[in-house]
Amino acid sequence: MRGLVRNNFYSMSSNIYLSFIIAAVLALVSVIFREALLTSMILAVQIFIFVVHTGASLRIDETSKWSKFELTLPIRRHTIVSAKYASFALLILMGILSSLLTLAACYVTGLSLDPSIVIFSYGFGLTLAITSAALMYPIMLKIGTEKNELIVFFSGFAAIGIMLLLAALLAPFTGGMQFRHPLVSIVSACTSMLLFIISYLVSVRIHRTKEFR
Amino acid sequence: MKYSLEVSNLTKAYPGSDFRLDNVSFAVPQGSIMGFVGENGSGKTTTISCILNTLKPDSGVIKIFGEEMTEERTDIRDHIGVVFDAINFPEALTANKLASVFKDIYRHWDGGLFQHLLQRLQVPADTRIKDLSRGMTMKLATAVALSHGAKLLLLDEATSGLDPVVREEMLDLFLEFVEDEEHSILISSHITSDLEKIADYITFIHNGRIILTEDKDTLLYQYGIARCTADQFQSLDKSEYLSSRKRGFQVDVLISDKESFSRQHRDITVDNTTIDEIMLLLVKGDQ
Repeated sequence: MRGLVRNNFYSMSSNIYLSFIIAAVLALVSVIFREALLTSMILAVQIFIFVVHTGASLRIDETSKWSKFELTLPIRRHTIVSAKYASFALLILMGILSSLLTLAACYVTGLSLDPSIVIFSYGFGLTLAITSAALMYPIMLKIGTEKNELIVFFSGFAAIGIMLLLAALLAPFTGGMQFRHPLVSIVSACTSMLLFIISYLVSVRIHRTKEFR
Repeated sequence: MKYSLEVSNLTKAYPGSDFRLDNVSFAVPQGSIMGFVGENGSGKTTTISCILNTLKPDSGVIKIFGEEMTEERTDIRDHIGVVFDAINFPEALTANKLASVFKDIYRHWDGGLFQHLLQRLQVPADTRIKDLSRGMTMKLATAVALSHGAKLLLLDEATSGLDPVVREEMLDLFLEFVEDEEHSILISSHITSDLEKIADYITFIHNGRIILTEDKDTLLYQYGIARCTADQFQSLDKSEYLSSRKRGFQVDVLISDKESFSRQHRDITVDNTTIDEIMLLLVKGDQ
């Protein structure tokens, strides 16, 4: 699996560099504007941004027929799927690490952030990133990668939808529907993780019967 | 005789398509090169894809090195080298990066041999695959296929679209590969002149059916094309020929034993044939 994960990162290397640059610029923006709400959004975007490009990478793998060639390697199909999910997890981890840059910049410049805002940012960012990856991959496996941009948008909106739904369901515990309540953020992040696990199992199942012409 | 690859009664249909592989059976003897010939859409790629399990056969048995090929048999796939008629690899990678990926995937990856092949084939090691020409990409794919201890190469149109110089380099590599008599190749190609140079056996496929498998030398030296007039053709018994094709006032007739045919029909001219002509007569002619 190590070789496949390495391959995934080589394939996405230019997008990863681009994401790091955007994350660094966003960290700078948060320092310049020193606005708590803006900073919280920046933290969420930084976590999400690394996953955004995976749709394009999957598309490139399909057009170059790498997705077909992969099946001729001495590995099982579920290993291919596992390598994809391990790569998604590492991308999300990169997003978290780059968001720490913003937190460090805020700390150094003396911008104090309310802990509840930080919890919301991380909860929102993780929900966006994890849910997007969880929805994007099985959908692309099933219907193909031609509409990868549309699928990425759909996945992002679905993540926000899940969070809104949870905010509504948790309203009795959060004193009314509060999207930015830490409880909503934490439950959303946990839900997205559960979705990620389910997505892995579904993808293994789809891949098992998928044909690559 | 030992076989590297045995395909028995392979069938495969696509939903919403009339095409189907219909009981495809053939075998590649160990130490030999089998040319797999057929027109576009005849079923060559579908057959190779079924062998490699990238397509799921509806029925049939595929044995590689005498053992049934299934998804679980990663040990068998470790000894198969594959070149598709495509880029094959992620475009953002270079040959060197590809080597670092494959050394963690193939159990017998030989980095030294890979570098040697890159140098021999003059493939740049640090240029991204998307910036390589088609010829370079195919040479890179061939270098990968030969660098992990493969005993069987499956080459799907690996030489198509390449200039004669590059094709010759590739053919030399394939011939060197089978010098070790444990090694075998199944190569599908439109370029029958390539197969005439390197193949030991030729299998013809048409509309998803195997129509002929034969030793190449038998095809080239024993088969022939009788150039008949309409009257001469009428006098022939159907059992005397494999296929016929009317061309103007002449009827070309494919025969499997030109010497014996010539003895019996001294008035009919019999020419030597090529794989191209045999394919044309088998595909376009009347059986």
